[in-house]
Formats: sequence, C-alpha cells, structure tokens
Amino acid sequence: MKKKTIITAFVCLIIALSSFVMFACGGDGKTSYQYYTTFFNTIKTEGAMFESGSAVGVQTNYQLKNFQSKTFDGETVTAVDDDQNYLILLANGLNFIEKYYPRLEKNKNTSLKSGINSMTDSFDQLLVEYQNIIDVSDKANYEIYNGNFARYKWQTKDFINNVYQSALDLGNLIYEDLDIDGTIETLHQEETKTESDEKAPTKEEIADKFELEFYFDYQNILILEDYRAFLMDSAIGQQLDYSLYQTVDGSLTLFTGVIGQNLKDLSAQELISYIDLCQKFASERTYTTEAITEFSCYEFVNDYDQNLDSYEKSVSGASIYKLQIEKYFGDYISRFTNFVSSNVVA
Amino acid sequence: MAEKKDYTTGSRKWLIILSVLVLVAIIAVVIVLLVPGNTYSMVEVLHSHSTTSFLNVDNTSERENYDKLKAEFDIAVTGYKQEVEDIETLSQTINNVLDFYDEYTIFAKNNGTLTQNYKSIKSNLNKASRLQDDMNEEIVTLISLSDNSDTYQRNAWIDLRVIYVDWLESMQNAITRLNTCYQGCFDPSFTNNRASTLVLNTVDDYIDVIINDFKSVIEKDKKSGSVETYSYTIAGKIKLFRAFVNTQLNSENFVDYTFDGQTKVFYDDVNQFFTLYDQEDFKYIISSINPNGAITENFEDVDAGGSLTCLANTKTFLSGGEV
Repeated sequence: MKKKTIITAFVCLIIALSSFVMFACGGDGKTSYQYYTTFFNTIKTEGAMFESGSAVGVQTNYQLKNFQSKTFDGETVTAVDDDQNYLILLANGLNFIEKYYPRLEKNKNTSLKSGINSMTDSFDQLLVEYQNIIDVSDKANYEIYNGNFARYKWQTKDFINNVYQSALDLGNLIYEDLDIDGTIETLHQEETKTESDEKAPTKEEIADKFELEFYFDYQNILILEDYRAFLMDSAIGQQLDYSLYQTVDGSLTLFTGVIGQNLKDLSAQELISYIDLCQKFASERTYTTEAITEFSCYEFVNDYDQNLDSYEKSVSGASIYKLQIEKYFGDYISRFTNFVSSNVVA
Repeated sequence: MAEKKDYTTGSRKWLIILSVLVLVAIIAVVIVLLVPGNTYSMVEVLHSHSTTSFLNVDNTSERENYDKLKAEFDIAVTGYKQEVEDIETLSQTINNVLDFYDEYTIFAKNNGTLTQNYKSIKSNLNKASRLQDDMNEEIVTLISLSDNSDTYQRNAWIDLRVIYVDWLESMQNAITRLNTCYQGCFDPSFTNNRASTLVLNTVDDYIDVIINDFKSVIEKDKKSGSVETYSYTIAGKIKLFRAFVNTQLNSENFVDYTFDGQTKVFYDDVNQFFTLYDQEDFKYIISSINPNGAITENFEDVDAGGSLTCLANTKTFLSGGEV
C-alpha cells in the first residue's frame, strides 16, 4: 500500500512537471505566418504613429508621423523634422516583411516567431511612447516635449532593429528555397541555346524559377541592413557631425531612390551579370559587417575626437575598418546603385 | 650496525616531479612552435613589419642614415650612384606592396590556406628584419668610412648588396605567400578578381626578375675585381616596377574591373596575353626593360597574330602607363 502510494505520487509529479514544461516552453501551435498576420493586423488597427505616403522616397503604409523635435529661438517654438533615416529604414523594413510573409501561408514553419514576438513587444512599447509625445505635445513646454521625444526616438530605434532582424530571418528562409546555382546553369543554357533547341527554357520559365523580384528585394534589404548597422549600432542612432557619417547618410537617400522601381525584362546575360555582382557584393558585405561591428563611429567622434591614432590604440585595425566602411558606403553602393539603375530596373 | 638509510622513495618522488615539469615544458614549447597561425596573428606580424620595413617613409632615423650614405658615397664612388638610389626606390616599392596586403589581411578567412602560409610568411619577415639590422650596421660602417679610400667603401657596398639581395629574397618569399593567401582567404569580391590576380602575380614576376639581375651584379662585381667589371642595368626595371605598383596595385582598379567596361576590357586583354604567352614569357618581357625604362621586346609573334590592342595594353599595364 505504501509502495503504491509512493509510485502514484511519483507519477503525478512527473505529469505535473511535464505539463509545466510543455506550458512554459511549448508552442501554441501557431505558425510564423499566423504570427505575422496577427502582427500586421495589430499595427494596422493600433498603429496610430503610422500614415501612408512617400515623403521619404518610398511608397509605404508605415511612414512615421510626428517624428519631430522642437527648437526654441527665444520667441517661438518650432517643430523640426528629426533624423529621416529612421523613417526610411523603418518603411523599407516593414514593406519587405509585409510583401513576403504571405509566402509562408502554406508553410508550417514556426522558427520565426521568437523574432516576431520581440518585434511585437517593441511595437507595443513604441505605441506607449508615441502616445506620450501626443499627450505632451500641446500641453508641455518644448524641453519636456523633447525629453519625451528622445524616449520615442530611442524606442523607434529598438523597433527598427527588431524589424530588420525579422526581415532578415524571413528573407533568409525564402532565399534558402532558391536554387541559385541551378538558376545560373539554366541561364547559361538559355544564353547558348539555338532556335532548334526545344529543351532550353523560355524566358518566362527562367523568371518563374529565379523569382527575380524577390531576389532583387532581398539584396536591397541586405544592403539596408548594412545601413541600419552603421546608423543604429556604430553611430548609435545619433546624427554625427563627421564626414564618414555624412557619406553614409547621403548615400542612403541615393540608394533608396532606386528601390521600388519596376524591373525590366532582363536577358540571360544580364541576369548572370547581376547575380555575379550580388555575389561579389555579399563578400564585401561580410568585411563591412565586421568593420561596423568593430568600429564605433559614435565613440570615434565623441570619445576620441576623430583622432585615429588614439582610437587605434583602443581598437586594433581601426584605420582598416574605417577605410572599408568608407569604400563600401562611399563607393561600392553608389556603383551598385548605378548598375541597377542602368541595367536592372526599367 | 647502523641501519642503512633508504633514499629511494624520496628520490623517486623528486624524479617524478621533475619529469612532469620537463614534460609540461616540452608540451608548452611544442604548442608555441606548432600553434597554427590565425588571422589575428597574421595581422600582427604583417602590420609590425609593414610599418617598420627597410627605408619605410616613417622610418626617420634609418632614412637619415641612408641620405648621408647617398651624399658621401656618391662623391667617393660615383659609378654606383644609380644603384644606391634604386635600392631606396625598390625598398619603398616593396613596402607599398606590403602595405597593400596589410590593408586586407584583417578580413582574411581563418582557413587552411592561411594556416599553411602563416609560418613561412612570419619566418621570412622575421629574417628580413634581422637582415635589415645587418644592413643598417653596414650603412653606419659605410658612412664612417667616408674619409677612407674608395676601395674600402666599394667593398662595404658590395657586402651591403649581398645582404640586400638576401633581404629581397625574404620579402619575395613572404609576398608570394601573401599573394596565395589573398587568393585563397577571400571570396570573389570587388577587389578579388581577374584584375587583382594578374596584378599581384605580376608583382611577384617583377621582384623575381629584379632579384635575378641583382644576383648577376653580385656575380660580376667582386671585391677582388676592378670597378670596371661593375655593370648595373636594373634602373629601368625598378623605375617601371615603381610606376606599375603606383598605378596598378590600386584597389580602385580592381573595383573598376567589375563596374567599368573599359577597365574590364583592358585587364581581359592583358589576361589574354598572359594566357597566350605563359608566365615565363611574361617575365621575359619584364627582363627586356632597358636601363632607360623602355620595353625592348617587340612582340613580333603577337603582331603576327594581329592582336595589337592586346599587346599595347600589356605594355601599358607593365609600365604603369609610363611607356
């Protein structure tokens, strides 16, 4: 009898523990697609900080409203637009996710939901901060308003970071299904086919197989992630009075000017050139990511007074990292943009 | 009878402790000697050498000594003037090559290519450093001999030249290995393409030809011989090598290869030449540069093939646009 009681108690304990573990760590059965759907439903119904427009050069439903700080000249208080890069990055990131998450509809994948949850939590907090600046906008003096705006801006940065993490997760998931090597082989077949070669694929078949539009958008979001990393991580979201910062700042507008244009009907050779270019770009991006991670533009400007020798003592290789960032944003991206303007978009 | 003391246990204990210590020391030495190079250690080695290399522009005291040597040696043994100046030019050109690699190594992948070449690069650069010290001693000796006869100075210069060629060979070994690393530790990118491969291989070819010419000078210009046996004809090659490095060893060109149609055509032409006429022929063309810096090889075979653009571009490429 005693033995039976002990066994029963032990079994109950195991069941209770298992239930707890399943409750705490287990899933709720929802897929990544369902999480994204819920997220976009939420920001459409509750996203009071967003409006539709193209003021930042990108047609979007996610243009931030009231992203303005206030100045006082001794007589009047004036609202001035704050860092527009926040708006550009956020609009492009959310546009990408909204455009491509429906592809997961028939996919049972659940791996993206932790990122979507972080993005949702960040959005909820952004909503709180937005409400704060609306509340104080007319009532409080400009200094109190600016204090609240700083919090709003800080939270926007957090939201942007989460949006890009989720966009990259989503893009990578879809990209893995593309067979780039197979596509290149097909393109070479197309390039060398003769009129009598019935086995060679048609242009439409190539386009279907390659999913050019996704590939193009994915390359863009990868480049935008580099901008995000520099502006939000290396420069910690601050506008810096420094030439390298201004180079990056200026080239973002140039780059986003190309995004959103319609693609032209590319020949097999043009596609091969474009894919080749993107693959080379991927290598440069690897070095640039490393450079941005190591080189803090904010610290360099504010703590080291732009003195490279001093900063080099703290960050070994700082001059090389700086050079790579300069080359990437100051040269490679503008060349890439020119190439895309001339050869890829209509 | 007194009981015999037994030392065995104590001795064995100390023996074991000693053995363990020796074993630990051996393992430590083996680890230090055999530890594979990684990107970080490669960066350290290369950076320290590229900033202190022989006659580097930042190496002020070394350069001041060399300036003194140039002034005093020119007066004493005027026939060697060009060679003395060329050694400075060549050393600084080699430094520029090291600087180029120094700019990229920090991004190199930690792969088998890096590991396999690290040890050789390190040992060759270290050897070059030791030879640099020897050269500096020799330069000080030369300056101190300024009041003595021409023969003393000439003999000292002959000694210096031998050390310099050793230094060049060490640098050549390191640079060839660095080239292998550059091709093997970076994915194809804007700066790692057919243009960069061609340029970096040509750097190796130039150095090889110049070293062989210096060896020929060593062979003929002996202390026991007369100054009339001295025959120095490398000036033109060094001049063009300098121009080549200044113009071609430029990452801007490598990026242009991807984006600029004309640049691509240019490097593809030279690559075509390189493919048609193998590396030895390429070196042969470099060997044909006369003391004035003119490429004397007339490329009759290529002319016959009708590939005039290819030939013209190859000449422009090798001369850094100076011909």
